[in-house]
Amino acid sequence: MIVFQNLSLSKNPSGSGAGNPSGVEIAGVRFSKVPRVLIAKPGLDGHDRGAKYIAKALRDAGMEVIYTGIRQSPDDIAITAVQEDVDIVGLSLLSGAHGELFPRVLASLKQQGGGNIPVIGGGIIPEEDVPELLKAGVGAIFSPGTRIEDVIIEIKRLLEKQA
Amino acid sequence: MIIQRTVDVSQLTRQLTGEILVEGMSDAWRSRIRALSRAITFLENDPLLAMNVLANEHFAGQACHSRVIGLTGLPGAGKSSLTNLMVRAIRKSQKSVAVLAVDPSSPLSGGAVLGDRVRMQEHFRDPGVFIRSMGSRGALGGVARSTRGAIRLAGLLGFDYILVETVGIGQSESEIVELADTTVLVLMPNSGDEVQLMKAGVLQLADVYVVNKSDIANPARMMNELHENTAPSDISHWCPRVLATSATNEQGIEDLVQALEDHRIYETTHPKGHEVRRERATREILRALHNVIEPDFISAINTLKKKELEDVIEGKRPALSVAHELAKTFKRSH
Repeated sequence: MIVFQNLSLSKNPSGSGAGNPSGVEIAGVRFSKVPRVLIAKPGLDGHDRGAKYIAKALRDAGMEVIYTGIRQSPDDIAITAVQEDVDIVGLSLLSGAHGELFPRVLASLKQQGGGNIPVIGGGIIPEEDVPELLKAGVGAIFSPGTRIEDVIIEIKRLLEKQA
Repeated sequence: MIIQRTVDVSQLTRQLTGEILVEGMSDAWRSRIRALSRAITFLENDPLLAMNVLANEHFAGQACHSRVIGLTGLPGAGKSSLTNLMVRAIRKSQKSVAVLAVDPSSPLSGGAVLGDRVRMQEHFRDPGVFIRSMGSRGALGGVARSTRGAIRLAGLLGFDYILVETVGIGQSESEIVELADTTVLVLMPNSGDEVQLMKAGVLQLADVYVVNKSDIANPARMMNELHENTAPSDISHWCPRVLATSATNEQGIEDLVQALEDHRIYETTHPKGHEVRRERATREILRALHNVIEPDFISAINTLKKKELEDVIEGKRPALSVAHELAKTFKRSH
């Protein structure tokens, strides 16, 4: 069996009319996609070894990872997430400003039309801060020492939940 | 890894044209940008259904007037850095610009790290700039299969310029020439000796040659050799420009932008320019036809008997003869 690399062809009968010449409303075409993930570093934190490690691990798990470099503002991150149409945003932060910056990324995402994109976070985040962040709308928090396999499993779970 | 998503194509196209807003959004332009990014995702993942968006009645007869600039060159030659500076120059003249940056997909996992944005951070919050990273997803021409469709959609939104940055290339990935109005090939002062430049391929096809990193080594020899090897024998043809830049020191960018403009004027006013466009359109149709028919070919290959495949594996029969046979049955059934 030969398949296109990363390219599954939909057999959706409702959407197969090429060019939609009849003007029939096509609602809810289902399609398969390669997941896209934004790995971003908000605020004044230049330590990106962890973010790069995660980016490579997700690449090897078959995801397209957009990496934008260090010192990003919440607006930078939200606009990038929307333009890149990612399925999930991963924030990496070691500076301690997560309580301030994570909610601001969520708010900015909403403003840019990406309010439905789940946000997860990792880095140096003390256990006692986690409930607050989850309450604010962050999908998951990974603290130091988390196994990379567990990160990938959790991301996959969040990605499949949206469908 | 593959996940499932659902899209309402009709709603999406109306959001693209701005007829309706994306749910929960009040800013018309932001809403159209959101729709554009969603539509590109759809094209990337479902090339067969892409027609439903690309040739939708909402866009019927709508022409795109964007100027498409292709940037290609060796990995690490400075394509993204130059793209960043070109975006800056374009924005200075109040024109809008969309950047489509292609990076290679992993042949092992299908994943990718798309990192071209790192060099373009200064433009993220500029509403006149749209940046989209694309994985090449197994396509070997330097761009993704869906890059052409993405150009069309960005054109429908009215961007003045569309910059397409290819994956870092070797010598033969020349599909960008078919997509772009003007192709820029980025090289480095020490990219190779004259014999390298004499070789055929993408080195013959660019409209503008840029020797970047001219701050690191003297670009003069490289520029001379490029001149000698790319000057057309027929003087009515466009004579490719050869420029030196330094993205690090932000030098040579005005000359580059001027060269792009010169080429635009040549291409839109000179009769030879029209010829070039016609040839490009023909190639575009050919490639699109290939994409349309390829899935049928793949199903045909999947019907091959084990014996036929084994014969090819063992070298008893050339693949070409199997292909000929398949083509015969294919012609009969159509």
